[in-house]
Amino acid sequence: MIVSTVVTVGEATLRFINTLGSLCLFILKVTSYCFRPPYYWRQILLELYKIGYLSLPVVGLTAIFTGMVLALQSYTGFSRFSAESAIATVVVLSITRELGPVLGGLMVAGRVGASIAAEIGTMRVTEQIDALATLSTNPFKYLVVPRIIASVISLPLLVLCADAIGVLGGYIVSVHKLGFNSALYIEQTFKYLKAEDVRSGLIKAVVFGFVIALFGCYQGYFSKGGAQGVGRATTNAVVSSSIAILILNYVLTSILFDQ
Amino acid sequence: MKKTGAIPKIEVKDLYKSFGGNHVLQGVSFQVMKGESLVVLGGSGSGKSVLLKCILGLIQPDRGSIKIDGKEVLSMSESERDEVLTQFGMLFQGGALFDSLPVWKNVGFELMYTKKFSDKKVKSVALQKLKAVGLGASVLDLSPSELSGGMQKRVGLARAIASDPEILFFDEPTTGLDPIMCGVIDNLINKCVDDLGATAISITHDIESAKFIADKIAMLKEGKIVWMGPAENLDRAKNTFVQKFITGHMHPKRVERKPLVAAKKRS
Repeated sequence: MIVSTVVTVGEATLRFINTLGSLCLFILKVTSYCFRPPYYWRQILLELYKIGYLSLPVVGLTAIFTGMVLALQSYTGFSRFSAESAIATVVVLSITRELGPVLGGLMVAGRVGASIAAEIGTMRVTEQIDALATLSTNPFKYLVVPRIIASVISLPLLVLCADAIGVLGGYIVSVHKLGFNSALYIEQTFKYLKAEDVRSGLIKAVVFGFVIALFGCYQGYFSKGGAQGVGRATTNAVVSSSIAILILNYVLTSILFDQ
Repeated sequence: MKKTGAIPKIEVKDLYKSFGGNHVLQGVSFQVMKGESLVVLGGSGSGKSVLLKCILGLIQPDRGSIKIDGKEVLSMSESERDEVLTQFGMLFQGGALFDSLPVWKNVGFELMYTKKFSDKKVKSVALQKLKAVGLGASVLDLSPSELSGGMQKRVGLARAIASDPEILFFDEPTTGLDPIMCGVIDNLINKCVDDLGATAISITHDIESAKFIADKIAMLKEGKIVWMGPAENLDRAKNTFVQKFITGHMHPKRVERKPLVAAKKRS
């Protein structure tokens, strides 16, 4: 009993270390290829469209309802202290510093991370990745690098849109439901907003963009075992990138907190 | 398919590859001369695909030597290896066509991305290669999923020969096809290899196909070559495993099927 437990724990530890090492090598390889030509511009543009443009509706919807709920919930709490005037500031700071990048990142992780893992995973199990190599095309440069670059560019742009839409959601609820003065609300929104607030959200978005594409590509690239393997890769990509986003969000918030 | 030149086009020596405790290749050695066509026969799991992938650099062997034109490829840098890979064309078992691209982009992929040809030129070369494998302009804009299995093999073959490679690999070229289509694909393989003057390695377990396309046949069993010789000598091979393989008598004793219940009742 004790021996088998030790064996199980030992095997799990070895597997974890093996995966961690393989992931680190993958990151090094991807980073190095990102700065070495040739670049497949057609692929980068296609991925920008798929990851950036096509994610806009889901990120926009998430942002507007988050802004609306935030305004309502803030009103519930702040009205007890007669601090309703702070609602606009709370909404804009929460959206730009935290909710825009995190919720946007999580939504994109679900939509894009899964799609990347499924697409590359299917290419792996149907030998399309091997075929790329026989056609003198480096699979990393053709499949992984364009997705990483597109995701790193798209996420900050999506988060900027999410910030604007989220603030608009807060404005709609505050002015049309809670009876705030429109001009006063807009003035309060921008009064305490600083460039660092938006910048910190964008820094997070760049990191989250890298993480989402990285885990999608990694899980897809090393998937095996047919349809079941691709399914597992897709699930792992979404779960691991979501967890990484939440952990990195805390790390980045701690680093940016002092600034 | 005539042998020329003294340096082998492909030389594999003492190649070993294991996956954990599974010893897939255990000291495989052979030579293929320029313009020669070698077929590697063997049962499922005998290491045929791993052998091809080792030569292509898709799998790193544990030890051994692989030489192309007399140059050791295992010690080459990544860029040198990429350069060597430009000589290769490969037909994959399942076609391995890119589902996201139309047929003409699949065929002209290497020309488009590596040789930087214009779309117009790529399309014209793709059409020429598709005609060489018996397909016409009507399939150019189709997606791979709209093609039958036989057509996918032909498109895969057109892609393999698109950049006029010096070395052609065929992975189970006739698996999953009906006998008529097998004959068509075998003829196309011979035609392509002859037209290009290419060196070819095919892996298969289809004896008839092997005898039709090979100059030389190697029999792989449990990671070792147990017999190798000219294709015409295969039927006369004295090796027991080869004899069992070509006659299909792999089972020591054939188990007869029970008669159907309905047939029993009628009788």
